[in-house]
Amino acid sequence: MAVSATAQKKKIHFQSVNQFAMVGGESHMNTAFQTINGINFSNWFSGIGIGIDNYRYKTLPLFMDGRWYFGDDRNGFVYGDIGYNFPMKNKPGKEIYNYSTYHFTGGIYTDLGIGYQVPLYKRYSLLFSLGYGSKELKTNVGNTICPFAGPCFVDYSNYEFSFNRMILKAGLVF
Amino acid sequence: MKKSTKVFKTALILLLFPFLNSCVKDTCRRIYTYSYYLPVYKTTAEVRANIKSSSPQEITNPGKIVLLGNYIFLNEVDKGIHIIDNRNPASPQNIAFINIPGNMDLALKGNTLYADLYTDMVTLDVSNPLNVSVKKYNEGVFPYRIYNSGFYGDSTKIIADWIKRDTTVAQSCGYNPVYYSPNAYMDFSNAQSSGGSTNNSSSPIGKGGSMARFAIVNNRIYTVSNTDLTVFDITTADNPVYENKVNVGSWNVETIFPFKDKLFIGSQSGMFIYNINNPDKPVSIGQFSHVQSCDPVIADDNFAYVTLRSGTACQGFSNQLEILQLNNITDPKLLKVYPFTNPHGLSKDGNLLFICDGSDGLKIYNAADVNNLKLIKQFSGIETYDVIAYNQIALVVAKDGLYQYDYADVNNIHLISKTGISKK
Repeated sequence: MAVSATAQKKKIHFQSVNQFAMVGGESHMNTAFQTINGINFSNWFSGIGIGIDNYRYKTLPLFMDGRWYFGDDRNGFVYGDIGYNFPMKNKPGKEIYNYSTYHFTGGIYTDLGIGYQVPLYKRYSLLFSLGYGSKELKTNVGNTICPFAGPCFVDYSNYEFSFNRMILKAGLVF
Repeated sequence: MKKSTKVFKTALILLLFPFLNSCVKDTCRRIYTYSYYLPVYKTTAEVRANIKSSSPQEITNPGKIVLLGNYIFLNEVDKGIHIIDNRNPASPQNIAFINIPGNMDLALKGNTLYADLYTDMVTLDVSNPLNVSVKKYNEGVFPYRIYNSGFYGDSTKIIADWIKRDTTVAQSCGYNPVYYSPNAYMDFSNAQSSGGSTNNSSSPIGKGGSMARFAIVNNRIYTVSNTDLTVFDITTADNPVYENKVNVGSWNVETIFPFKDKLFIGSQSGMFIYNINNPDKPVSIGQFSHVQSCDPVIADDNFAYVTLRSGTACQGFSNQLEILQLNNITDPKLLKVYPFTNPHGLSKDGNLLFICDGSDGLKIYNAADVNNLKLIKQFSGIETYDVIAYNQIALVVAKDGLYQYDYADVNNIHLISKTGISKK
């Protein structure tokens, strides 16, 4: 049975990893979802992922995912993601005072972690992982200033956010 | 692997999560470029020697405006006054500039111009706009001129100009950053300006905008500071004499509008009405309170028109026109409220009501029925600040220029000229 499983894992096959995540960082916790689809070969998996990340500001990460399986039954794994974090429609938060205009742009998205998957049936497995990730985001914010005399004008500032957080995921692999 | 081991490993991952959360930190960096201004000091003698007609200068930061006869007197904030020959409104000519450091407000009667020079009031003979001459300085009559950001100048000298410097700063955002105005050290807080005017004397009085803080009624000039109403006797036009000061009883007094024997004073908390039957002793006879907001006010026989706007200098969140019934002058009643985008100055000529609605441009209403204002025309695409509607011409101060509209035919209100503003 073990031999059969090993042989099966050595074949190249399509694999889909679909995960729900709790994302926790400095005084804030929120959710994320992602689906990663790629190729599994031997101990390796490589795929492309996309998701929704609600931490602080809602973003859409698009990333490359690589993972290496280890252990006797190759159910333990380490993974790494790197990609770009696209802003979704957001408004500045309370860290920005009295804004009148804003424009978000994206930044680097990373996630590194370790996990374990529990085989269920055939290629179906449950997986759990814990990682450390970062997402960057920038915004250009304008404050309209209306002095008593003369017309109003806008004062612009650029804000660069780097959100560093722990990411606990649970998902289904098939 | 034993099932119990798998469960243990999985549980270990789950348990680590809440502990590790506290180890990570978000970072936020704010990068902004602000302009600050270094004062250029001159002695009083140097400044006074330079108060005269000089060659016309580009309009860069227009403030209050007064129309008198064929001339427009336009304040360049903190620097002086442009004189614009408006004999042909279709082609106004910028003909001269009077250097008056710290000037924000002005009023005109006949050939006499009254302007603030920081804490002083200067009186000038402008009978020849190309060769104006100083007649008098009333020293220290506006003692409350202050600078933003806690700036205090050298009190022994006068700030004649400001040199702009740009600086880019990166700092941690924090979560309650201190708001920083890029116009630090520029004084917008406590100036005086020319207003509307009523006149039984022989000399014509310049017509000011609704944002004015100076107003001339017959032989008196009334000025408002943040808290006070001050009276000067100008029976002898070139020799204004301080007469009286009245505490309005409100913070942040902003504008003054005279109508017949009344003064309508706008503050950020309400409108105050003063009777000036005794011109040297204005008496408060009524008031109307509203939410915190900037509020230019104008009035006619039956109604007062108050625009409330939000903004950093105004604090409030209301953007609307309030029309008050003045049947009982001692107790104005709110009659009607109209929502606007960011209303600033306003003016009324007959049944036409002109409102500068910030970035929404100039709006012109038929106000024959105040309960049902009808929009006649809107000029969009300009950011308007103040308006004077007089003699079929609406003179509008906007962010990018001085506009003039002909409203002789209400069905064909049209732009006749624009004097551009130089961008610096």
